[in-house]
Amino acid sequence: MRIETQVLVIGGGVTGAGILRDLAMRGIHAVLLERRDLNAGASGANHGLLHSGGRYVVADPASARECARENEVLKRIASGCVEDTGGLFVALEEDKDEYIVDFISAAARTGVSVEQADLKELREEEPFLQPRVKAAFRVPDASMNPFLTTEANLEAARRLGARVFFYTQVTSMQRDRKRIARVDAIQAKTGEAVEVFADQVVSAAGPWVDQIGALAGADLRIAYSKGSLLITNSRLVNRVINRLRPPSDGDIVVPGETVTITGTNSIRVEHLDHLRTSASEVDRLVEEASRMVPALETARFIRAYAGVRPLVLADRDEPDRKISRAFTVFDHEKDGLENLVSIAGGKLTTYRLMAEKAVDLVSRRLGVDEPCRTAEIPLPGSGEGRALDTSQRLERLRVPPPGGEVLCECEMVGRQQIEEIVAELRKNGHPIDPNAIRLRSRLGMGSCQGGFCGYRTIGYLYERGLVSSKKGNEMLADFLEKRWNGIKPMLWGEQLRQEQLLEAIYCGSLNIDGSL
Amino acid sequence: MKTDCDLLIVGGGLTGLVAAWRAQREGLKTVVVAQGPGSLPFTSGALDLLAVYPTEAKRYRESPWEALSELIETEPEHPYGRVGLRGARAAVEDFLLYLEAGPLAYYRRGEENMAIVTGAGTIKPTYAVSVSMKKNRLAWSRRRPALILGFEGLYEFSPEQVVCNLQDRWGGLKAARLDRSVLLDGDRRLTVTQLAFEFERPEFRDRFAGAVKPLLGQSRFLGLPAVLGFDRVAAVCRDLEERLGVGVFEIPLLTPSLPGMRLAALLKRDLVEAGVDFRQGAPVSRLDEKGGHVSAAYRTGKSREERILAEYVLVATGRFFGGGLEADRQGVREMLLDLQVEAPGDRDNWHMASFLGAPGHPINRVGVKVDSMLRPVGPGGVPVYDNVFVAGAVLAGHDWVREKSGAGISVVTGYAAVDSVLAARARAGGGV
Amino acid sequence: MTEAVLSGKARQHAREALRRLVLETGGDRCLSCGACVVGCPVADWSEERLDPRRLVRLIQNGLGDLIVEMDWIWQCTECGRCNALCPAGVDLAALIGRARGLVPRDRSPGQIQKTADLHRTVSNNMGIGVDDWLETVEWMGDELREDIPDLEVPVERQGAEYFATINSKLPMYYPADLQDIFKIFHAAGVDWTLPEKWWEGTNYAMFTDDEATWEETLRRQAAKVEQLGCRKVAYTECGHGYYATMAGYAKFGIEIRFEVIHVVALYALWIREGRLRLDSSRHTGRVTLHDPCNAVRKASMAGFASIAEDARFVLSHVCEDFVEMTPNRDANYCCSGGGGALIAGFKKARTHYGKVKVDQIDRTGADLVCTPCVNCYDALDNLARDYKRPWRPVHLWKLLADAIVTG
Repeated sequence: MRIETQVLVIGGGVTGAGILRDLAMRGIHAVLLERRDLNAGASGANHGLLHSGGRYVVADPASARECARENEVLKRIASGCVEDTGGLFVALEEDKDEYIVDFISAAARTGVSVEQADLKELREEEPFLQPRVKAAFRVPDASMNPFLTTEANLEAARRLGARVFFYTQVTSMQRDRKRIARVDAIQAKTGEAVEVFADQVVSAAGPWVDQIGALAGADLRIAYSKGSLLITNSRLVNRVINRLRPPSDGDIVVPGETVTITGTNSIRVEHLDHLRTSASEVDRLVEEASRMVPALETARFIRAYAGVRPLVLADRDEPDRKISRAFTVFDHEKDGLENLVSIAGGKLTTYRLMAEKAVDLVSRRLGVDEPCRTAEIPLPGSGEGRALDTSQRLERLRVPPPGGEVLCECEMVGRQQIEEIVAELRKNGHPIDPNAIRLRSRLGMGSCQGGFCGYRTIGYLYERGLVSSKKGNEMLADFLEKRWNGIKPMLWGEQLRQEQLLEAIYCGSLNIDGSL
Repeated sequence: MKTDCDLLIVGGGLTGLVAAWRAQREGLKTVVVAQGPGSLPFTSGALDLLAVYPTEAKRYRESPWEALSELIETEPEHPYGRVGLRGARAAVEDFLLYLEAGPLAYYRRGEENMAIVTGAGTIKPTYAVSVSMKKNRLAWSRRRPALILGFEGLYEFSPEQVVCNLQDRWGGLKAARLDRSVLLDGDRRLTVTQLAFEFERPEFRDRFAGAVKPLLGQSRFLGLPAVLGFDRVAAVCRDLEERLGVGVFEIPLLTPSLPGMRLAALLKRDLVEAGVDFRQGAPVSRLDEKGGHVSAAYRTGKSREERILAEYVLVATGRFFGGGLEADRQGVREMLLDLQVEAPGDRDNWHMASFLGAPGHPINRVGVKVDSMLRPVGPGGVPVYDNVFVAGAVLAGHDWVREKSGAGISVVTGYAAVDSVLAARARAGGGV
Repeated sequence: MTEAVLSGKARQHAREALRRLVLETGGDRCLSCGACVVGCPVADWSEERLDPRRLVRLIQNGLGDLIVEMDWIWQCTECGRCNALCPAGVDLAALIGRARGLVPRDRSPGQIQKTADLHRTVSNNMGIGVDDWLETVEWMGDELREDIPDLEVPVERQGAEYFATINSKLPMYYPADLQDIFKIFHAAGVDWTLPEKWWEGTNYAMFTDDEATWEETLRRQAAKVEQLGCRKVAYTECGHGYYATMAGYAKFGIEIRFEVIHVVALYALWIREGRLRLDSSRHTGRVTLHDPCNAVRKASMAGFASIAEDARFVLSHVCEDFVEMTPNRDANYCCSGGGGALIAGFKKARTHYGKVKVDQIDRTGADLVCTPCVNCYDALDNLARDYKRPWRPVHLWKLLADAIVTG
């Protein structure tokens, strides 16, 4: 396949998607390649937190300011992806008073809205919060669904003529002196070769940004910092809970959709593939988060996942927590490359701003002078402009889907929703498998972690003729194995019982591990 | 409330039920205390004895008895190894004779394993099946033309999945679905339960047969998801066969599974009618023990504590699913008596990197270690109680999910534990 | 319910109270396996299609207030089949109970709360005054004395062994049934008494989770038993009354110096002791037994005596053609009127899921469906009429009284 376009975007995370939309809105023709499916990297492995900026006020005021601004912007333009839970910073007895003082004054300087909370009221609003809190502050944190956000950005871009290719991995770049002349890629599912001819290339490959840069001969200095997060099978808190102390491990608890997400930590890794969360990491995160929300000590955790933050290094020996969480746009002209831009760092909250800065540079190079309007125009599905509350977000739990036809019982994903997703996937030429459906719904995200719903979904795909031969069963085994990576570190208590039941069904009743 | 009994069985899964059945027939006054419904409702209802051995090689064994002899030879600490071949044979024979004569008319193929079709379109080896799956085995082994029929809206079963996975080895296999509106009024969601209710109604079977007949074509068999009623499955199958003129069989499904529930219901009914005191719900919360002897158990529910005096206690509490074992982040515990259980190192080592791979997760072999009388042992292999015995999945040293030996371990150790009780009683001078 | 049932503060309270309870009652352990749905006659049959799993999910995510506003919690008959089948030990019935308790009292549907209020204020559900009660007892006793001249109906007898409870529907609607009960106690020759107050043999406050009323009515009845110095309570043929009493004593920590025995267990005891001479040939029709959920499955799960085996033992002495319905005992289906559903309204839903029961009974070919529970009796009677079935419910006391050989 031969593709000609003005701009090639590499990376199907939220930044790449934001860039694609921004380009499209400025009338620039663009194509996005992603080697896996949406949010396969750090975009799919974070807290799902729309920061107020409070976390950064003391140590990283620039990031705090950015967050504060983008928080307001995204609640408006991405309201369909945001649940406006509000957030809290809580100081426990063992936390230092000096930090509280610094926090208040730094918040004022950076424009982060902070309001002291009445502790008695708080106990009613958050009954699972540690009762021995010595001070608490309300901030406008919110919960944000990164999958919906990426999907909405891609959809907006598609509507304006941009094209998205998933499972398409960039393998090499042909350089013609100061320019990337051609980008070669391969489609994983079909083996088809893809040649892209683009005026400009934007790499939003997250932690893989250095590897992409290397294909073009650009030298990027990136360190990999693995952060693990744990999720429970239900919501124990109503608001985002942050520990009021200098950023450390396990000090944020976020209610997201039907789960509570706790994390994270920061561990240097040398490789990006086969990320695992060890038992000792899990134990430490549970212990730390339980200090704020004691019920987490005995809560049912269902999954661990890890993402890698690409840290832009000034000095390789700097401690990771000290490295700015701000983002960097690399203009590779200094490497003698006129048509490559790389972007790295940042966070979910600032994805739109990152896209804006990257696209500003690309526009300049292309001589396009359309201004960025992504902060004004709402995303598809966010037309109302007001973020949803919990009962609206979780409406599906209350109202049975039409005909009562449910494929996923933990998350109440109905057949109709799956039909719509499948239709959309087909329209976009996307491979159809349970994982693709999972990323675009909540299927497989609940307690059973895909054990029951994965099976039903395969049955549905067979019914609709979307898979044939033994391929569906292979897909099912593949789906179960993929989920396993995040399930394995969490197998004690109830989740071990869940695993034992599923293993008994798959291996005992169905003999899927060794069909004769 | 106070109760006296000869044998208190803690656990109402297949092991507890089998043991109670045997104990009561041997004249022991038996009480069963079950915390939950047991694991049977979550199994296919097919009785596995041993079909894969060794599990490292995933080697399928046509003859379970041959595999069993090898296993007993090489793994003396396996529950089968503890009981031995003679005990295993006697138990399986006796229990199957009972099931074969009963309303579920269990069926086996001599001394060999058989293969049946599952709802995933896989082929599962097993040792004995209820009457509703007898023709499942027959249709598959002869590869006769068959119609696999599903129901629109029943997501537990996809006939297309079965056919797509088997058609390269089974010519004349076809899939079809019945539209719910052909069969049912109203717009209720279709569930396994609802269909089971309906299949017990003659009017429904009549409508069903009318709708299916035109779809049969050359088919000699009709395969249906396991929804053919709750407790009259034999009659329902027979009736459908008469109406349709083809062999009718059930295909095991995802949980919860009616064939497993039927077996549990049958066993419970027969036990209760034979005089076993079967109590589900309030669990055993504590025991009186002194000097390696347990004298009483206490059951606490929503009422006041209830004391059960027992001469012997059988621990048949199951594994993690049944609640006999529990794991926290630090390790694994046996929940009734805190019997010694060793986890395989720290949590990173409990499971393999692959969910479905060989040889099986190390944690699956964790359990209670016993002597040849099935008495729990402490360090040095010495029994820790003189009147406590252990049977079923909670035992150490097996991986029934991978061996396909679940029901067999329950039956064999359930029988053996009662034998041990009888022997201990005889030694203590108590007659039966 | 169309308009909002909960105000702002009450809504927040409902969310958090249920969220806490879901953790305490094991909701977090749910494995999504669906066994509850297999067990439940109401899930997917009611208009709201509330799968018990969805109930748990809503509460877990802080949306328990929405449950409180659903009709489903009242259509549920609290039969406990879901609990019995749940491999994770989730106490779904407890969640539904609490959800009902969070509905403002004046918004609970039908007559349940009004019934409980009358029980508390007047001492029985029907609001029958002491004089009316004594008059009815005397009148029924007098009539029966025409057949049994030496019959005594002791009222307020100090130091009697047995304190008998009576369902208030009897004096109100079916006074003649009192005669069967009198006849049995008389024939057994036991020392018994009826009190002038607090004889009610039901307890609907349990079904609105009105703990204050539930506790007060139990305490008042217990005080009455002790005032009369009775050593045993012969709890009348009522499933939930018996259950509410046993569970309530433990729940509220009520210390008692007497024993509560379901009267069916006493019938069996008296037969074994040879106190009752019976002629089983008097009933020629075929009889089946409906096990009341509260006195069988729920009782045994909660850890107190089930009447299942005693009921069968008694039946084997009072009729010749007994046939079991299936499933039975702990696995039996609700009569469709449990959990207060019979007086909560929702007739359509109840009739709908009662079809399961009708099928069960039809398959037995029985003429009479014996049930030792007044509430089950009424629900089965409704089903027989609504589905135009020839069979009829019958109290065990009726079969027993008719089989008693006198002289």
